[in-house]
Amino acid sequence: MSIRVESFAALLPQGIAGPLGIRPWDEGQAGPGDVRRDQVLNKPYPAFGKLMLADRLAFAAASVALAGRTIANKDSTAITLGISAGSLSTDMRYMESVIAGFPSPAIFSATLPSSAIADIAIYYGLKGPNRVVAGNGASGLTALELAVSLLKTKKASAVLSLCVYAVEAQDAASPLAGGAAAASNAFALLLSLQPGNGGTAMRLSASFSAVGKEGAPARDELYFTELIRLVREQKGGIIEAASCDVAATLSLAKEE
Amino acid sequence: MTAALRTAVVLEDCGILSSLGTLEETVADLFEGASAIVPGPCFGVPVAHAPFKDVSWRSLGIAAEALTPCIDASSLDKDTTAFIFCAAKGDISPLEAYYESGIRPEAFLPLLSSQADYAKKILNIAAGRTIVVSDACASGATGVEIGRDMLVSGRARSVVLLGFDGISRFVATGFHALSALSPAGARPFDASRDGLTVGDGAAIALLTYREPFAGDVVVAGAGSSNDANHRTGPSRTGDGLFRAAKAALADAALAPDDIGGVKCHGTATKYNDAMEAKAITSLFCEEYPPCFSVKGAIGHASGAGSLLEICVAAECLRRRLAPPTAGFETLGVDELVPISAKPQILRNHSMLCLSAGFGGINAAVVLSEVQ
Repeated sequence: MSIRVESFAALLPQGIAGPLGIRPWDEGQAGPGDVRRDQVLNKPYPAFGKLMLADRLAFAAASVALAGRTIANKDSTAITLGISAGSLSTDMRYMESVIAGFPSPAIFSATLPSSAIADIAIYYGLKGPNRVVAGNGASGLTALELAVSLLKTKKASAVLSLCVYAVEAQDAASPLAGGAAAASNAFALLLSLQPGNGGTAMRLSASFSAVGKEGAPARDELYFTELIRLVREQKGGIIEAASCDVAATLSLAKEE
Repeated sequence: MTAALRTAVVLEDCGILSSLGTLEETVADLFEGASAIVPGPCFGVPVAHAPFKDVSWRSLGIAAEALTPCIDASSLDKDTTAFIFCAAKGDISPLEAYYESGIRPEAFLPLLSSQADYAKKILNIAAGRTIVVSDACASGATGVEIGRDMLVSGRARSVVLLGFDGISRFVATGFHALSALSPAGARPFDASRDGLTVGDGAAIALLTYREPFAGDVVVAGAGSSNDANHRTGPSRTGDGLFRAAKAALADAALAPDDIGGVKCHGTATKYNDAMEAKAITSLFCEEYPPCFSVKGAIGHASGAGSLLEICVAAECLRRRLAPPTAGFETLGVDELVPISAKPQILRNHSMLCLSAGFGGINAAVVLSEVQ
């Protein structure tokens, strides 16, 4: 069974990629962590600036992928999210507010890895199932596996599958981070089983193994950067992705 | 319906640790109407809470060790077994110890991925892969749904689920800052309810896919949804939870009449219970089965709580009884949901387990005892 890739987004150090093209960061912007609302959404959204880093990246990627699109059945549009570093930086900001004697309710509510999907679901009215995975380096790959499963089991008619990595520079050196890299990136794929109304016209076939490969590189961004490059350039190709937890063969082909 | 099943997702073994103790102790005490909720302060916050019966269980490693004998993992095959760790924050003590005393993490980091790897080592589970599910307070139920989908699709032959969420300064201060905690203790669905009570909780479950025998409890179906309404509050209509429950029934190929009882999320916040009563009414059209919440007895154990409560529901299903809802006296929702301070006889051999979480996440699981 192949799945239609309806839309995509990537927020990388080089810039923002989406169906409308690639836009480099403005002068003075260091990368995805500095993303502004006007770069991803052409309407005012006052909450954007208040979002914690992981939530902001997820919302930005979702907005680029969903720009100008009409979602036919929002009740059955799911969101899956792979977020390998979890809410580490947000947890640290919240704990700092506790130590300072003023626990912040706003930050506390963002200390769940699933917080990153809340604003997307509300803003875009997506009421389907949610799957949030916060495991080792290839959580995005697992989130993609769960997205494919939701489509195959007909539990969702479309899935916004997100992959987010967010560790603020000031936190990476902390013993709490265990060597996690200071980086910010986010990817989004809008997937469906049905033919859509235009878009990228690429088909994804994905198979996932029951076991991973020990010692395999476990960085989602490697696979998602390549996957989204193929979608953007409308090129067929096969990506062999592997982490310690899951291995996958992702095949992309142009729609007939 | 369940007698006709050829293969099913079978709940082989399970165990829990709660403020009332082990699974056997917890279920026995629930039927006595006991509550383990104690007065505050809780980590400096003036609210009631429900600490583990043995406070040493609040350490992830000790809890995992205590739960190890609850499942028979001897025949698990690494290549076909998935380990699913379900938590909202899990054991966040390394974060607190670092900020409070400068102590560097040793056994594991506060990251859920690190907690999952550590717990898996303690459990000594042969599992080729680990999935860390963090869908807020619905994490355990979502984990069960993911496990069920993996087994039915053939992506795994065995699934081990572990849930852990401990009370911490982090969690207590956070819920208090949100004004969500009851000063005296949770009273689910009661007219005087004034908030939730944080509770410690841990649970383990082994699921397989095979032809079930009479007396087996199976995960007959599961479904989930999002309210798309509010970051931390439930919807006012109950529509999201209703859609999750409906999806779970459809997955189980069961009708509302087939459901013998409902294990409610029942946090005892004003808005959760009102929302849930609406969702239950939408589903059953006032032909209610018995409903209950355990949070007036053992508190709310976040993401792990939803797995823990599914294990409790399985035991209640075997007794064909819904336990009393501790803390409940007078119905305080608009709908006539049959919550009771006494045990109620289940009207059938299937149980609907409801969960909801921050971010508008809803999850429902249907358990059936095979006849």
